[in-house]
Amino acid sequence: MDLVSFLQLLLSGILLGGVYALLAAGLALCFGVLGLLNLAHGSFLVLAAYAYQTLQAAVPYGSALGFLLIPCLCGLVGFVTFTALLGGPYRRSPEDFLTPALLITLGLALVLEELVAILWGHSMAGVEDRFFPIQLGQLSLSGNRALILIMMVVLSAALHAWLKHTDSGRCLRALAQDQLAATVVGISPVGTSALAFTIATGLSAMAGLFYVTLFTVTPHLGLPLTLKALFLIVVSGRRSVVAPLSGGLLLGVLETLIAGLMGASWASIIALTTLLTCLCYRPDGLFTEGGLHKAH
Amino acid sequence: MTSFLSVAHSRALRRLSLFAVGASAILVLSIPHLTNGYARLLAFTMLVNITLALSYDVMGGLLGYLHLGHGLFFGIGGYAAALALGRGFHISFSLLLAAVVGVSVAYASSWPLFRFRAEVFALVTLGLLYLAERLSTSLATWTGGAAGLSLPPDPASPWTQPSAWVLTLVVVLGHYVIRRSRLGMELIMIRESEEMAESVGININRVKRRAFLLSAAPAALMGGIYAREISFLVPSDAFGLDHSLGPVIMCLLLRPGTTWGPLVAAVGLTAIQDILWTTMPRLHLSLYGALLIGLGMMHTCRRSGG
Repeated sequence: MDLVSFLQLLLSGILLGGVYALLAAGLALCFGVLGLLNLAHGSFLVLAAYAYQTLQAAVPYGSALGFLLIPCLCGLVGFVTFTALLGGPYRRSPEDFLTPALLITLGLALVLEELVAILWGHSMAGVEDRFFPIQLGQLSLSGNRALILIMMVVLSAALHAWLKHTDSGRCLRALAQDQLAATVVGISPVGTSALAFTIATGLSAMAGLFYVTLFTVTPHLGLPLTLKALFLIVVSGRRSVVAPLSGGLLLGVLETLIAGLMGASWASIIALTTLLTCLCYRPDGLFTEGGLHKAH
Repeated sequence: MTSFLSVAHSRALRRLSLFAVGASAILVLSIPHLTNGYARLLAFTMLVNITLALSYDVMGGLLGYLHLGHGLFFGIGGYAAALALGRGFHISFSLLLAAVVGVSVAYASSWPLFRFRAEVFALVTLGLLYLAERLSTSLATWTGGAAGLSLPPDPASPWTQPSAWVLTLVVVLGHYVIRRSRLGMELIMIRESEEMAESVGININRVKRRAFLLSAAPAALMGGIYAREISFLVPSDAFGLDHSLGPVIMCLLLRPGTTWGPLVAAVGLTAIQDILWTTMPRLHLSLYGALLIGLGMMHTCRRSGG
């Protein structure tokens, strides 16, 4: 493999990694606050991707409209989902929430997968490149990809700033650190959790828009993507939102390079095996820090 | 008063379970006489589901783990038996191979698996199932890839139905015995409090591993029988979500940790599934999804109520 195609692969790996990182950041947000391992996270990505494709084809300036509307709408769907399905069990027993949450979100993932398959059939979704290519020496980068790269950086920075410097972000971090103390000073666990879930779903939808612009999406992509992102946050071992970002980038690059060298079908096998192997060496990765999930 | 109520309750349950066992025994005994292809397939599906649900219950009900990859062993057993059968081995050897391979995989994977906390265990088992599905698709020279592996028509096919019902009976009785044995008590104790179990000297990891192997073996054997009966294996079916989530639902639906609960749920759900599949074939994932959501929402009510 020559240098140029290697760099090209690396670039597309970084883009895939950015999508993983966004997905994992949303999941980590949910996990930190709620102790919720959300198996339906990637299904929102797929839903958003298909909605975006339809909108883009149907309406002039559909892509801009989609980037503004779809994450908000998906966030709203996330909020409704949380209130209708997860809020009740969470309120009843926050400490015994993990098993019901796994069951409910897995069920939701299956329902969403079939919903997409019924609405859009089993055809793949993809969006054609609309912008002119940018030439950097021998490397070519389409305008779409450059834009996405910039948006990913901006989005991660915005997420970080929101968590650090706003009241609602502080509430979220407080709740993740110590639920009891946060409740004592007047933070509503259910309200803040709903906010975290809403934002996570919005982020997942955003990742979906990126994914469908860069690659193609099938209705059955949701669960495998969610699994990879979940293993990522488990492996990265800290309930910080920023830690999975670097892990996501690494995974994306690894997977793309393997796909380039050995063929696409091995990429996700080796990626998943790597994650599982890492997990075997750090079985308590997620739970080593104190706070919500102190080892009893 | 409450103790009286619970006694009456458990008596009713016992009567119901006797009824269920009787009904399924009649059903099971009638199976060798079925000649109609559809009825034969339906009965076979029911046997598969009963076996998977009850073998799952050792992990899910007695030990209380959420195990999302039970179908992994079903698929592994299926492929092991199919590969042996395809090379001309006798069915008995192939089934033995299926069980041995399934149990070895369970043994090997149990070392890392039981180091995880229960939630991560659920994730990892789902991940393993997905990995197995991808692997069996990619190793196309052995498994035929996504197009599937079809077996030649066989002379031993009359044996698959009887062996399926013998296996099912063994699993039902085995579950009944295990639940009342020392192992069953230890499992229930670990479920209720791991620290307590450890403090009275139970070797937690060994007990968990035994439960895992005991639950994997019948699934792998049934996978082998399934491969012979259906004569066709595809990764998306052998390692599909049906054979993994079905048992979870059947176990949790009525009363996890009892013999009759998963048994009745398996019989009932197979019938419902059959009706739904024939009337609206496109909605079968949503059915699983809706059931899982319902079970999850009931989960905390049940815990706080009981």
